[in-house]
Amino acid sequence: MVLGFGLAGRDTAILSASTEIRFLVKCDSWLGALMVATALSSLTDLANHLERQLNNPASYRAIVTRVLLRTGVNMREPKPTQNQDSAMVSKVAGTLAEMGYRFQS
Amino acid sequence: MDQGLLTREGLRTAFSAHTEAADAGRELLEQLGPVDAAAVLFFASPAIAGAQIAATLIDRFPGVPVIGCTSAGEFTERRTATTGVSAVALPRGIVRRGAAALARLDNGVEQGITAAIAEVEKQLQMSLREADPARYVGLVLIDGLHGSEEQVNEVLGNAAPLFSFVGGSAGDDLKFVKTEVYSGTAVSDHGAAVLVLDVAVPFTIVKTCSFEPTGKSFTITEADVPNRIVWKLDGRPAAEAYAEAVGSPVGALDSSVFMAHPLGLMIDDQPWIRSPQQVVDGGGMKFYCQILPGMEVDLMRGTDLIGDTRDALRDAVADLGGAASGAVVFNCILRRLEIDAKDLGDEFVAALGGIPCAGFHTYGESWLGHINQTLTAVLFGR
Repeated sequence: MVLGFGLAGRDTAILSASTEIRFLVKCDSWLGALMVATALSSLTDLANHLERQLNNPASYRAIVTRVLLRTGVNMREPKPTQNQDSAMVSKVAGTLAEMGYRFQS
Repeated sequence: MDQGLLTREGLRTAFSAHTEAADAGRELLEQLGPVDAAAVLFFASPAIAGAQIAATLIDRFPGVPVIGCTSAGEFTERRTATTGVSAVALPRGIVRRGAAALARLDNGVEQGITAAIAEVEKQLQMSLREADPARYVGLVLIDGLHGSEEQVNEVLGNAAPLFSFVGGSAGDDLKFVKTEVYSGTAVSDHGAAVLVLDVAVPFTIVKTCSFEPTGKSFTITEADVPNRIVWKLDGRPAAEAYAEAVGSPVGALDSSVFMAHPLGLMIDDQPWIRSPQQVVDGGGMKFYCQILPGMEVDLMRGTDLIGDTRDALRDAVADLGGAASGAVVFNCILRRLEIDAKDLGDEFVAALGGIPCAGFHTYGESWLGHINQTLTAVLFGR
């Protein structure tokens, strides 16, 4: 059974009955991805979901830095004019997707 | 640095000023001594046959990954110079194992880097994406004349976003004709050498530059990103807006002004430097690094390169619990030119604090992305 669709790339894996714990984690991520699919309308939303998914301040900083270097957008402190700009949100979501963090906006 | 801060088995470093590769290789081996190395790096002036240096090291360290590149100056914790070669051996007490590959970029950066990552993963029998970023670290040496650094860093980041690849762009002693990177016996003048280390001790990444914001900022409003040209700042011709901000006529903008006043992309109050290279026809400015439309950047002014370097390394050692076993260091050529202009070579070496290290003066630095006028390093604890 493959649950790759909609998950962050780092979480994509072929699951089996012998990986019950991992399965639960994947399901949680998968359901989480579905739940956020309609909620991500701002950079702040994206940042919050990324932070929750990574659950590690250093990892979060690294990804935010990569995004800023690639897009010029600071997800943690977006300018008011950028925060709900759909083009900007899509751009950042696309950059995150390139790194395997797939959130729908 | 207090000798008490160093471990008994630090990184082994070596330097040779010989320009004949055979002599230089022999001297490097003498200085590296009897070490059980897990990986070896070297940084050679283009005046020296780098492939021959690589062959000498491979012969001495069979089965051990050896990577290197040409440089714009080389240094260790004992000296900095040009037209020589520096090297560092990473003992197995510090690095359990390493894996290296050469990415050939002639057929595309993504293809080349992806293949190199696959080769490294095959050697390590693991996925870099799943690698613990607190245990594994990467070093990357990118040829310095094809402008591929941003894409190399992006592809590496896409493959393993939580993983740190630290490195620099190969130089050629400011001739800007040809740079080379080496991995094992493979050589490329359009490629990247990738080395991944399984580190047995704590380590940290150092990124330091010597600039602070002036208070003047710009928004990039038009740019030719692939060619690293900014056409407009705040809607005005870039050279005109920049010249006004630094208080200089456009015609007087030269490398000394650019070196003193690069632009900084501020992240968490830390500048990620983008250095101007020249004014181009049409009123734009070419940089050593891409800057994207919409980015807000600060005009920077210099601080104390030597003091800032010393402090950054001292803080990093403190972060590691007060003990360092060595470092691999990448220092921008523009920083070297400032060091040369101010005759601070000895002070720069002193700022390295006696930490066993080898490095080179680069055509660009890498960590999470491509940077200018910065020192990046991997500092190993004990």
